[in-house]
Amino acid sequence: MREFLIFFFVSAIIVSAFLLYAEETPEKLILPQEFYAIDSPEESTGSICLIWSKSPTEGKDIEYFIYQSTSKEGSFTEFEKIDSTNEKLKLSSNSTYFGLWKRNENYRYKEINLTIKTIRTTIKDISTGNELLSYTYEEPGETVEKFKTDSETGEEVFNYSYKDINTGEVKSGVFVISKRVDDKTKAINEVITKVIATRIDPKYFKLGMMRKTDLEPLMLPDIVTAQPRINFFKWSKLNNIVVLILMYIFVYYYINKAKKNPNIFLRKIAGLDAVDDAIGRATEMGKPILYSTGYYDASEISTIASINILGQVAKKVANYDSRIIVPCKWPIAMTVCQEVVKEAYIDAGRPDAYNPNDIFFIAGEQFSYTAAVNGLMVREKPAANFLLGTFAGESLLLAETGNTIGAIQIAGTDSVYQIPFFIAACDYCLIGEELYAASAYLSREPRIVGTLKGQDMGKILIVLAIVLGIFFVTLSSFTYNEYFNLIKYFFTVR
Amino acid sequence: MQLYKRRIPLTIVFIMGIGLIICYYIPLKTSDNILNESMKWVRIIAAFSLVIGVYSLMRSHYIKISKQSSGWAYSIVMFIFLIITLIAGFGWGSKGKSFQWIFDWINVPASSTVFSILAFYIASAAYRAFRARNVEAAVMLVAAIIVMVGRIPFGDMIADKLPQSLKFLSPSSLVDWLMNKPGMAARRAIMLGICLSVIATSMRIIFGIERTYMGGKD
Repeated sequence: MREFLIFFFVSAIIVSAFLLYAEETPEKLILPQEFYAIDSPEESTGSICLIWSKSPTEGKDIEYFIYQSTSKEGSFTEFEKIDSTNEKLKLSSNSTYFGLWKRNENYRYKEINLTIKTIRTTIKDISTGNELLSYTYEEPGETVEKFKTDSETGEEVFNYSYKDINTGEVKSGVFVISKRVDDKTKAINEVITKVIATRIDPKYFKLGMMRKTDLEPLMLPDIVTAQPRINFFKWSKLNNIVVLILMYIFVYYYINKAKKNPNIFLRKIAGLDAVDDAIGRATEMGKPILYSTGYYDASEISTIASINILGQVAKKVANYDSRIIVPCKWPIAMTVCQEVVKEAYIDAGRPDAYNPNDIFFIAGEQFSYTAAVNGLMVREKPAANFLLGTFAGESLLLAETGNTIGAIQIAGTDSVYQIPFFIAACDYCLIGEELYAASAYLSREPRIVGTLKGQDMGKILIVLAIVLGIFFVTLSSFTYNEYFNLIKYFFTVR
Repeated sequence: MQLYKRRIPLTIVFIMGIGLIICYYIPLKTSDNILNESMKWVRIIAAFSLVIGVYSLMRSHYIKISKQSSGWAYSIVMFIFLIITLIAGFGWGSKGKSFQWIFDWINVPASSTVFSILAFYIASAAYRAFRARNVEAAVMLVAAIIVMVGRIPFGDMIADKLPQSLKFLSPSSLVDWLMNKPGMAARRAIMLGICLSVIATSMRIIFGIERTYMGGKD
């Protein structure tokens, strides 16, 4: 028993001493095995990537140090220190640059821009146009330029401090940019900043590592550099362009096919079949038809799709000798709508019936437009409302007002969050892609109908991509084979 | 006429369309500059078009006043406020106190008022939409009730009363499931359809197949 107790106490002392020693003596830092530099893929802004293998001793209190020098033999100065646990350091965090290779988990990187901009700042007196100060500096550098605005008065000053590129002299000062005169902020001086030249400043880099408590970092012997190159293609978008080209081929093929055989089957879209009924009802009731192209201007594709439908609707309206009112949210959309409706009336052989005053601008403000269209509905009491295009918060406000006046309502939008509102408040709703298909459906022009078939092939392609994507992701997680990851990368949206 | 009304616009559309697609895939500074520059053009053209818009607005309201059609008095109000806003804007600038006062104390409250009506419209639209007329409407009604309960504090109260093993049945968990699984699947399906349609419509416009937006046919 006595021997056992002695043995126990001695063992406990030895173990405690060992643990104490282990706690006090930190693990020896192990430097990364590899360190190299490459040109940053996918961009041409003059940056390079420093890549190094993960150190097994990375941890909370460990930092990586990057040192830089203008020459290989020159003295290296600290460029940046980064926490070794920083997620942004991981090569796997940037799949756009480095793909989904499994080995990326074991590498770290830092992107460094080597471009030096030469910038000229000129301060001018606005009233006289005289140049008050002009100086040139390089960026990145030690120059500081800061606008400061007084939150109460709105007055603005410009603080500057720069190192003259020629003399190396540091100068600083303050200019008043605007001041308060008679209850109004008046601009006095103007600051013009212009990049007059850019150049690549080649640099050499070294990597170090240390604990936050250490005094000196452990340095890797390697000195690396890379030359930034011009890249002409975003390889991460390869899948994107492949789909685009395939879509173009499908559409081109089906347009030609439609030209030869115009009887292409189109599934019935109830909302578009009801267009004739809606216009007919309005004609019988002697009431106008209201058409809205939505929230966006004519530069948006959904607005163009809506304007295309407007052309078809206006032609029917002209044939029925009814009246169409088009309140517009944007002036450009208004002029395009006017032209489209005018041509539709000419096409229908009734140019005299066209009234440009029925297509007018209301307001660019969302709710001003909504209030005005609602007011219009209540006053004019249109028998049919067409709400086609992209809509936002105003969708239900318009549709419910239309509902209360008893108008037959055909709505269509590509804004996913507004579709339920239209379904609830309108008689017919074109969901998403139906809005874009409407022009082809109504015109039945073979060339346009052909593009719909091309679209269907695109859908088959996407379904295939989804099925193959699921298959390869499942395979890669079972087999840990990184080539499956590579295929998964191709199917990833970037 | 054919040259000015058709060929030149179609050529511009083709060059700009194809050019901007190519720029999207080329990681050069020039590509970014072209994209940014074209966006500036759009803004400049939009700014010029505002004059046409204001003219159209004044004209339509002038016609209303001259014909004394229904609600013509509101058109006078529109003219008064248009003139006041123009004087405030041109006289003291858009950062001036007067213009800001109009914006802060007339525009913003008026917009908020119109937006707030949405709450009542949602109630009336929901009443119509959620009548359980058939199986689909009944499913939607149940889903809507779960979402509504899950989004209010009462849902959290129910969740607090549930044992740990049944927490997954709490209204907020069910809402998350409804929104992130079946809801998200439907949204994505619609989005995919929309994206393909946008590509096809863009192609029709770029290659001059769709010309309705230019007015008339060939």
